[in-house]
Amino acid sequence: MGNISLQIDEDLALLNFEAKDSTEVIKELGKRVLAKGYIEEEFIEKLLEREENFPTGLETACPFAIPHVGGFCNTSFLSFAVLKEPVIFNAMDGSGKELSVRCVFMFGITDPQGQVEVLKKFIFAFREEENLKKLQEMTDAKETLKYLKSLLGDGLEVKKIGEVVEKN
Amino acid sequence: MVRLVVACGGGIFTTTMVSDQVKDIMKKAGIQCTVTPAKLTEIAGIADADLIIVTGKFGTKTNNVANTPIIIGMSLVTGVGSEKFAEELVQKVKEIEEAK
Repeated sequence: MGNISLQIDEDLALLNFEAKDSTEVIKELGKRVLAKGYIEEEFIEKLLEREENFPTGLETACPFAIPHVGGFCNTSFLSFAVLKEPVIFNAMDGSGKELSVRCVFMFGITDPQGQVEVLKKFIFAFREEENLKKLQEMTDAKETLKYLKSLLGDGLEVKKIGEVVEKN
Repeated sequence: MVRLVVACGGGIFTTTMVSDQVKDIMKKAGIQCTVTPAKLTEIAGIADADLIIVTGKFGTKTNNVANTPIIIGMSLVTGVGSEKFAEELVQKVKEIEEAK
């Protein structure tokens, strides 16, 4: 049984990030995750393609986006960017609605069935406006990871930077 | 046994969490069903299902080409209107069950 909890460390937690559009956010997170060896290069390309065809913006009280894609992932992870100024993600429901998003959570999921609990916890937590707002106001990466851990529990594994991660 | 399919863009994230909730809703309602995950790109021709629940872009069609009914389950993701959706889903599945 491999390790299926989502890996995260401070390199994958961007605060007060400035980006001109959603592509720039995805590319920056992708670059960081790639550097850890969690994904193959194709992951980023496929993710951008997917966002084009099947966008991942969620129209909750305070909208956020969850870019993710199947395959090309070696180790499950969560990475995120809290943006200084919002960027546009299209709504997942296909309404064509443009959502102004300040929190982008990029996921690498290798075992959806095994990870259903953490995915549910994640969505249930952040569709509550106050939780997302709290994250948006945080200024210290370490604190944000602690906060995420408190919301997601065992499904999230907070690593120290540079710590070697066992492959799934 | 009612055959449900849950589909989203990638067939991973929202499909998994919506499937899980659909199973719970059906269990509470005492309805026996199977829940199969799929990608939105795969559902157009699905003929061996009784109902397809989508959480993503599928236009405004209420049936696929094989005449399988489609409903939008986005509320189980966003939480907006999720209780009402659950009631409607149970109602719909009961109708399907009775028609079998």
